[in-house]
Amino acid sequence: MTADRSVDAAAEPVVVLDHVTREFRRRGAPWQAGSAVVALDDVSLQIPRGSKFGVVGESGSGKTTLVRLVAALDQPTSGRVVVDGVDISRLQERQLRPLRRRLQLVFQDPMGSLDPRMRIRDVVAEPLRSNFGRKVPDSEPFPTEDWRARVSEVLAAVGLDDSALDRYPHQFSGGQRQRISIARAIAPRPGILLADEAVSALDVSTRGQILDLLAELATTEDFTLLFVSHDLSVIRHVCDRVAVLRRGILVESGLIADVYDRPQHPYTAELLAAVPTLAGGVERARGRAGDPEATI
Amino acid sequence: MTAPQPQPSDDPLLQVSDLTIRAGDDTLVRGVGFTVGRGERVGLIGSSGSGKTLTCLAVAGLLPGELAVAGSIRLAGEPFDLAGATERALAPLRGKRIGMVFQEPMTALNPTMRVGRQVAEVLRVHRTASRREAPAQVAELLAATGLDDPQRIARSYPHQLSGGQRQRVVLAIALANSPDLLICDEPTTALDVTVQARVLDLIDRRVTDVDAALLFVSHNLAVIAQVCDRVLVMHGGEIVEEGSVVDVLTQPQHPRTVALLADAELTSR
Repeated sequence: MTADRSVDAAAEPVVVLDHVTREFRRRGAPWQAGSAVVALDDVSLQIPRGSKFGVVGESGSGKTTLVRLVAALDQPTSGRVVVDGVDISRLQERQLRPLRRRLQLVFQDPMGSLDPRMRIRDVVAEPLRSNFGRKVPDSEPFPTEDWRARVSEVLAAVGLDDSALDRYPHQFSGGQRQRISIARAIAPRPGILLADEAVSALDVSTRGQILDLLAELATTEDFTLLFVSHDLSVIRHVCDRVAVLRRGILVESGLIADVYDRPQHPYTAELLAAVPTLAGGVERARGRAGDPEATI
Repeated sequence: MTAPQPQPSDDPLLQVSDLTIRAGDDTLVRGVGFTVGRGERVGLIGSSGSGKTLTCLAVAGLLPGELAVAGSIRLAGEPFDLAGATERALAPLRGKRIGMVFQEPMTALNPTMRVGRQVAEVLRVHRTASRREAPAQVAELLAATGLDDPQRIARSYPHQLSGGQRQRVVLAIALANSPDLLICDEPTTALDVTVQARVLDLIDRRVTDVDAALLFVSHNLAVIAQVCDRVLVMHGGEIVEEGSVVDVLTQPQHPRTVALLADAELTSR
């Protein structure tokens, strides 16, 4: 049973996955029928507006497929993906434009997602430029004062000042680059921010800061956060709800406190137990040292 | 030290003193000194750029040539100083007395060679098994790492295996000659959390089996605590704190250690 304890009657869902299945055909030899890999198997999920929703799973669980479907970068084999009340699963690219404005992404590797030849001002202004309604020539970086103000505003919101404007991505550290990716994502005031392993490439000491920043921005900038990660502790730190995926199947979802403290599915319990903790480590070390305080 | 030592460690297995590593004018590791007793398990922790990997690479004699090394690294039973030793002197130690496991098993393994041959290679190079004995030993080593159907694994290429299976193969190679010291540099960082738990258990068990000492690098204190007895905390190229895992985790002294503890649990500071 996949008891969904996350559905809250009061909050209207901003993203709905309705029996979504995504299969990938594996091409066999010409005389064989290609077999299918089921990346997502009949997944139904509701993400309430204003929530910080975590999706956790190990390699091959279907996390990335889910992100691609919600971002309309891919279409489901069957089922519906509804964003802001619109079924996006069968739309053409042209019809998706309003969604593109409403939904922004932050990826794992900030160096891979920032154009190394663009100055930060252009990186952050680009989603504004593409949503301006007309083609703006590159020679004209800030057609209105409004843009300039917004770029400075979002950079300030992520903890960078205007001295960053004329610099290039390689002049920043990994954590700062991820701040720039976030500034770019929030610049067009999206209703939904999708973060795919957004802190997995960062050093532990920076990870907490970026997570705190995302949680804070979700409130101040007023967006719904969909945060996908393999790391349970990261999800617990930033999210208020979580869905657990395993091999394409949604095994459990609900409020963070419920799922983490009282997991219903054995896989969730196994996943939680596998996370090394300091307390567990101290206990093990005491056990090895034959310490009488050991509680094993 | 309250922890019982498997053997008396009057002369430590590994003694690093005043190790300094420079790249041009930048000092990356500054006056690092520590010892690892026989059979002792030492964790090395710090955030990116703290110098923990460089320290490990120096012990294995694998530092890039453009880095300048000063200080001394002594391995019990070897008459020479490993710091600044020639490749000719170091090669017989690596894979024989010092085993190594790195973060990314895909780059540690040769993609064009079947896994069985790669395990056999370390036995053949150090002449610990003849051509005829090697296949049986390979199967035994692979089975000892908990791999199902070791015969089939031995015939596989690395890309046909999962990340966890590959790291088990790397561990089989590292422990093939029962080394005195196993160096692990973030061995489980690239693995899924349930796989990580199994690989950590495996490292714990196999290190005990072959009676090796362990030098274990990680950015995650909780991971270190699973397998180590003692921990060294590095920051800015220096060791800022050291002590038993229990003491360092329960009564951290240095502010960097406190910060690392907070990061490990992602608690707000």
